[in-house]
Amino acid sequence: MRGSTLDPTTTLSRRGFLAGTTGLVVAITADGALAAPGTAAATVNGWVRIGPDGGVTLHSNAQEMGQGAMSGVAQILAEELCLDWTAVRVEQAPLLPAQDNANGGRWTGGSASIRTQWTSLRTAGAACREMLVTAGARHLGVAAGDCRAEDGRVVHKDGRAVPYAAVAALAATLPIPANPTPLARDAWRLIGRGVTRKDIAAKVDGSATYAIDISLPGLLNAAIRQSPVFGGTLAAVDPAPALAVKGVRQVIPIRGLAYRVKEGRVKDGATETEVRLPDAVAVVATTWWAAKKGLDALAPAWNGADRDTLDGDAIHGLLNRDLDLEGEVKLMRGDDPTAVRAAHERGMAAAVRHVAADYATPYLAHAYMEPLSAVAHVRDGDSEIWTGSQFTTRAQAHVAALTGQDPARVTAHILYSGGSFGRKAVPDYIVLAAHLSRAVKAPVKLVYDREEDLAQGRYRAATAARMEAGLDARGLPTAIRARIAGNRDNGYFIMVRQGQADQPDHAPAYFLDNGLTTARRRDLPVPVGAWRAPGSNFAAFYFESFVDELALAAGQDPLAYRRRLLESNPRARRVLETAAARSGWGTALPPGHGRGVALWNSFGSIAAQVVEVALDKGRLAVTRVTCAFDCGTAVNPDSVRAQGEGSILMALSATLAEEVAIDRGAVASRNFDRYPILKLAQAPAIDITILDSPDAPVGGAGEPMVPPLPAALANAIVAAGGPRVRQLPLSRQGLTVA
Amino acid sequence: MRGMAYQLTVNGRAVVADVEGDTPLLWVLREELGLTGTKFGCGAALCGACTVHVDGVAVRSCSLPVEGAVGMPITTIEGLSADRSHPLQAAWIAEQVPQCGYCQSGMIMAAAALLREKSQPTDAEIDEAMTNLCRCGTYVRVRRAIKRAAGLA
Ligand code: FES
Ligand code: FES
Repeated sequence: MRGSTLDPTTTLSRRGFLAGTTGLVVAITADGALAAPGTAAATVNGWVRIGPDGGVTLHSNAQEMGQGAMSGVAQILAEELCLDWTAVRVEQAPLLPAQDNANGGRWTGGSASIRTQWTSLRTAGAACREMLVTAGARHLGVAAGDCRAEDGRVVHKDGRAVPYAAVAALAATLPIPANPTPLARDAWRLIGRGVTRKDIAAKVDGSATYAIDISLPGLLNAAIRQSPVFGGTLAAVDPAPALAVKGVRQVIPIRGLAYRVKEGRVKDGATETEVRLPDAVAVVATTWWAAKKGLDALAPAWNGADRDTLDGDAIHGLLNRDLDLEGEVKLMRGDDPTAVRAAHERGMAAAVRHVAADYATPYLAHAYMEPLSAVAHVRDGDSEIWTGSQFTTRAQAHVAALTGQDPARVTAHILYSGGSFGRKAVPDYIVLAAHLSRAVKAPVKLVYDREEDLAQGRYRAATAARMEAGLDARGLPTAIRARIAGNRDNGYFIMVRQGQADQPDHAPAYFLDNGLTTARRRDLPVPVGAWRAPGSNFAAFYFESFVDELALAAGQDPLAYRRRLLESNPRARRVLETAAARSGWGTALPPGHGRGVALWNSFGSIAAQVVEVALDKGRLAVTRVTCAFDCGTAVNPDSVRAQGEGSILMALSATLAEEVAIDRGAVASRNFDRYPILKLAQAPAIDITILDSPDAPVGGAGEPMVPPLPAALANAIVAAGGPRVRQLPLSRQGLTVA
Repeated sequence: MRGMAYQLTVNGRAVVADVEGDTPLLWVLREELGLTGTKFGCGAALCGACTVHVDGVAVRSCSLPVEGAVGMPITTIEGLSADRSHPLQAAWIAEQVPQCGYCQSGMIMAAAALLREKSQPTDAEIDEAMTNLCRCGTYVRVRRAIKRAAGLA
């Protein structure tokens, strides 16, 4: 995933500073088309609002779903504005009217909120600060050059000061500085500090509001069961048992629900696609519990027998077979496929020995704790939605397409999301809420029960890989190849870097010659989508497990081997060496213990991890994870650390025991008993070191600490005397997880 | 099942819920009493997002029919303190525990029940008591915050 709500190309000419009725309002838009000063749009969409009472509110365009980016974005603005962080209010920014999918839209993902907006936020904040300083100097009757901004005031060198609030209206009338200067690194007082996140307080007293918590006058509640068999259709349903439940208003069968919608940015060539939602039965009631009880009383009949042989093992078999077939060569810009292949073959021919291994990873569910929930109210001329969507403008566009309304007539209320990890960027559940609202002519809250949520995922795709390498006399690779086979729609990438020029992101950190990546896609009915660190979350397992196999084949220490491969990448080598040193790599361990290492490059950041395990007669305990992480500049190191802890534990959970069980064409793992996620007692000690690279571009933090973990763990098992695990999860490989 | 008026004591207040007896306490709290701090995660006693105290004990309210809670004091996250002053809430803020926050009400209520029983819990006791699921991976901080609230850190 890539992009963000504020277009990274936003420049000064695309920014506006608007005089609002409450003082200085700064609006940053992604498209340059600004609302006129003084209009309602101008006042509600400001990013910086300085009220006459002195209160400063910062609007953040990052959807808060746990990653802390809502605060992080505001922290950058607050830094440039020289505000007292404890006094700043931060809110989720409402949608700009012009902020639709045509110009980038409002979406949060790709670990992009900070890294893609780093420059534009600092520049905008600096411009705003300079205007306030100019206005403050005028107010004090002194030269602007003798004044500075400090804790929400303009301060003259003689000590006289005026609060921003007193000069905000004047500032709003000033011309926008042509070349505002962001603060120098040594002047930072907030960036680089673990300031308190603004969403935390409401999350310790139950007051944080999610879509599932919304209540409205006349709100009805809905529970839903979509075809459990992928692609199945609703044959028949007798509504009577549900209608007998107190509080149930209607049973609504949904058949063939489809609409056409434009996706993508206009400048990238928006295409109209048809969206078809699975057939379903929904029960609408006064309370959700009544709806759920009604739903459970129904016995809908589904057609879908044609799929009933599909199961996880069959899919695995198909993908494995695909590995024997030639795939499409994955290329970087400007590469010639024939030349890439020829170089690879030459490299292989030059090898003194060859190594190959097959790997596989399963479908994974997102399994966030807030099940899919959305509120919609569709009226004749307009609509409203309440969501914690990861892609609000997409939800808006889809609801508009469903209802035939202009997207500008669909008001989106933005709430916290109770986790997302990629899934809530797909608006199917919001569209279904809108469909039901239209059907019952009332606002409707649709909440999936856990069984439905886990059965209607957009899963991390199952893939299989065959890794092949040639080694020279020193044991170093002369050529590496990755063959990948997987589900359709799954973002493939260059897994093996080709030489040193124009290195791709989401790839190994090594600069290896003669790399070749080929991929085959197969149409399978299982719906797939983005799962934290898409692509990298399985590619790193394949590649970094295989690098360990190469090291062992060459009779070398896996750390020393990687260090050699990183000779021309000192930044990555520092990350690797930091993790190794902090982990005590090379020091003695009790029998049955082992350490494994892996590193990966994604979202503009580099992460290296050492996992330590204890293995006792097939019983596995993960005792410690050491991580070193370089994202260039960590705006809030404590938040980055929290993302590291979360990424490590989510990846560990997936590696140990997660697999979406598919049986007779449907998902069988429909609650946490069959889809076990990690518990506190299983969480190892975690040690994270954040490394600064002040000259490097700012990288992402929410995802790049996911990819190294599975391989580091598999490598540790080998080091502890266990088997080489090439297929995940570990629980299916004869290992018991403590 | 016939609906009837159940007398409950929630966060020190006497309330009446006119529901059917098999309605889980969770949905009475959320939909009848508007106490939405207690969350729905799985509906099957597997995740702990719905944890409240019934008679001082941590209970997964999605799996307790309301008729089973009559006559016993019920405390939800909203009743833990009026102003986030409970030592666990203070520790949770100090350690910046929550990420998405969705599991955190249940997590804090489970921790509060643990500390009431064992004021200085060992790691093993924390492991055993804290079986709530958190997909965001806040476990490391949950453990630290419990120890901080217990005066162990
Ligand atoms: S909702 Fe009650 S335990 Fe999950
Ligand atoms: S904080 Fe998100 S599930 Fe725990």
